[in-house]
Amino acid sequence: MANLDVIVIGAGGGGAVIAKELGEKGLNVLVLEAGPWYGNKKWPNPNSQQGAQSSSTSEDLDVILYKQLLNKFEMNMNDLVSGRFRWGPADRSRSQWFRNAKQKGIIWQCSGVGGTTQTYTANCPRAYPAAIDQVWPLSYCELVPYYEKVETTLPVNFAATTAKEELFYYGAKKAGWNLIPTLDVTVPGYRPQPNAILPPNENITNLNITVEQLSWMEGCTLAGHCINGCPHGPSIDKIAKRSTNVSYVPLALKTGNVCIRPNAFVIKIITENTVSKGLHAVGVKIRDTWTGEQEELRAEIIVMASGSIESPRLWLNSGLPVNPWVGRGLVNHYMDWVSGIFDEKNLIQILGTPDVNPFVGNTCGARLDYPGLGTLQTVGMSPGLTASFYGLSESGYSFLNKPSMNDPWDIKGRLSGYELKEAMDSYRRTLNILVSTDDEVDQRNGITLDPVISDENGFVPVVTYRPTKKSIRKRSELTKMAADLLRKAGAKKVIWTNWPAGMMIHLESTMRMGFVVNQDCESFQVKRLYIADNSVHYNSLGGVNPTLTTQALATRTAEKVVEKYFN
Amino acid sequence: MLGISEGERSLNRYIRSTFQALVHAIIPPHYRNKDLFGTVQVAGAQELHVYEYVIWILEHSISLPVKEQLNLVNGSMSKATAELLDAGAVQLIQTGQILYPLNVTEFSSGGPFTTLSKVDRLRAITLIERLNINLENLSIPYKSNPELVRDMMDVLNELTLFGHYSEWTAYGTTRLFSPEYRRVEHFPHGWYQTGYPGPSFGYRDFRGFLATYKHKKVDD
Ligand SMILES: Cc1cc2nc3c(=O)[nH]c(=O)nc-3n(C[C@H](O)[C@H](O)[C@H](O)COP(=O)(O)OP(=O)(O)OC[C@H]3O[C@@H](n4cnc5c(N)ncnc54)[C@H](O)[C@@H]3O)c2cc1C
Repeated sequence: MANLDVIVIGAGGGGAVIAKELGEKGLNVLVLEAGPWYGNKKWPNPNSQQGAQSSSTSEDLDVILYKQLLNKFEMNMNDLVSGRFRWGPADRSRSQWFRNAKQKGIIWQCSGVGGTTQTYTANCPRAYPAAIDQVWPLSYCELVPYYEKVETTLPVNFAATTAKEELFYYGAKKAGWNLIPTLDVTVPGYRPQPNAILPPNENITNLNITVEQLSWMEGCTLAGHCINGCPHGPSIDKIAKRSTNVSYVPLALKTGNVCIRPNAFVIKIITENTVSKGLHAVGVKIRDTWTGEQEELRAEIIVMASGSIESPRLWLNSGLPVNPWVGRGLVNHYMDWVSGIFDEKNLIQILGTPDVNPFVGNTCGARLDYPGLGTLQTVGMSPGLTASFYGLSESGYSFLNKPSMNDPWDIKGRLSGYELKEAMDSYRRTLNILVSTDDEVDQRNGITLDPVISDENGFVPVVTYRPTKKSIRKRSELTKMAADLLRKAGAKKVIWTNWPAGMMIHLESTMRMGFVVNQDCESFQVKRLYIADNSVHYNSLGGVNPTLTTQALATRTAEKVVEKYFN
Repeated sequence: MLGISEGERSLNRYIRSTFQALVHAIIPPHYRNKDLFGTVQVAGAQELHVYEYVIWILEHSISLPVKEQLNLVNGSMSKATAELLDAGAVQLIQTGQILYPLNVTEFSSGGPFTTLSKVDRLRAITLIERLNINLENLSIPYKSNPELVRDMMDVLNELTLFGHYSEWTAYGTTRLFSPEYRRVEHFPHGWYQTGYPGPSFGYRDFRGFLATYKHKKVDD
């Protein structure tokens, strides 16, 4: 490839966005992605055969292939070790890529075009203004036009209501919270989830059209498979859940200026030091994940968008200048899990139906926001994922940790035996709430290189996170709020799982703005090296889901790249 | 089977029994009321072979080159993990904490862990989780590795739950194949047990919108 303007490393939440934006501005962009590409004709068997090298036209996109691959089976898609959405090479006969997590929990990231947005639930709230203003090097106002652009492009809408959202709203109202139907959250309250899921087709309740027919039409079918991969829609670019592989990637390809190469793991950033330019990035070294062949590629600008673990890992493995904040300051929203089990009788009164049916509708359709504390969100998933979330606890087995009389929950800890059976037998009458904390940046948390263990891509990352006292206090308040909401909604039993601190689902701020990159997301120490993923966040955004902010910043960064280097 | 020595065979039996005992304690079979007059037995994780999934994951999650660096080449993760469970069991027994008598006949070729009653197995896991065992005596990779030891106690539970309640049991005769070659042969037990209808094209339960908003027009 001659005369590349920009190389983007990673085609996930941020990378796909900056690639599309730069392509639209006429730059020649190559996106290198470590994982597979699902739904592209050039990779008809993406998990077992090498396929082609790259693709640069939306004509290669194939919705039938996509529907075959995203088959809605939870283990096939989401097994962390061997699922299609795992963090690992495309070839599923090989092991996942190793991470050294020195604590209880899971690291849930995906390789592949679309990155972790392949599995994400597409919740797209803006950061709380109070978490940005006078805190970040940028103001909330400066972000708003970019939020708007992403919200229009994805697009973002308020989620439709199904039974579980209705139950959540009912409980929230009973618990005394107000409805806040806004995008700019300054006061506590509940609201429908702003998400990147196309609103249901107007025929959703038209019985003359089968649900199978609906699944080939535009709009969410409320099938509830968000997390296991949404395959519903008439074409790739109209798939209902707007992972970047179905939103920004098709748009990037349509510019005619963007080429995407999956199965290409970047193992090194190449730099040069000249008098006129100083230390600056000039290219990358990649390793083909099928053949093991290595290659060097050059461009005017390099953008790291490999996520909050791999971006710092790549920096460190490339031997780029020492910076005490590279990899440091990780936040993960110090998450927790609270579930309510309801009686048929109550549900009929509130919902008119005997079940909550957590598998129906947007996976996370409703939320409660509390600037200064964090958020609560409903989560409805398939049974395997639901059960496995009951299996992770800082306090061990529930039967050995009976709650006290004053506790707002009936069960605390990891479920097993009878309690587990009871919870799973009540699966259809369960409402789960994910607690997501406005957790504090702490330089001790983050990514370092394992001094000894390496894989084919270099020294492996060690990931550590311990919540600060303040974060612990906040989470504790939020879990109580969740229990109260469920109780007010009529839950007959409340379960607090007490998740360990290492639940890595929202990873952010390991290459912080103001410390590693400037406010235009260019690295302070290596010129022409930009970052466009969750790692640049200054903090945890107040506890809200991170991706929309990453995408807004990526949109802004594209402008800054062009202004500085291509005018 | 050709090429497998008696030693390997008994090792495999030991590992299998240990993980059978594990998943049996986490998800035992139970009875559920069917109607006024009868109950049905609902299969637990042992009957559904979920231990095979747990062992499969332990053996397949780490690539060979990394295993080499962990000095795990000749050992196996499932063997080391079975021994870890035994260490917890021995500690529970030796400190006189067992609640029920040992039963050496339930799982053939199993170690101390398999002789414990179900609840004592979970209590042994709790001892391990609280690091009330001697970490020095464990085998690699658990030896002197408290973080991994603690993490693994969650992992074993999580895997059992995911194996039992996902479609894994329905992979039937293909369940131990590489994922690309597995085929769903019937409706998964765990889905049936929970009333989950399985993959769907959609549902009609649309109850309107609580709020909507207009998109700002954005240039270009
Ligand atoms: C189950 C789940 C649900 C979630 N739901 C939400 C939600 O509702 N809303 C929300 O905002 N967030 C959600 N998230 C988080 C969301 O997925 C992330 O915030 C988002 O994907 C982050 O974008 P990113 O660009 O930082 O990283 P990623 O999306 O992970 O993209 C990084 C990409 O870079 C590639 N890569 C990494 N290293 C290299 C390398 N060296 N060379 C080449 N390529 C490389 C990876 O393969 C990957 O494709 C969820 C996450 C999970 C796991």
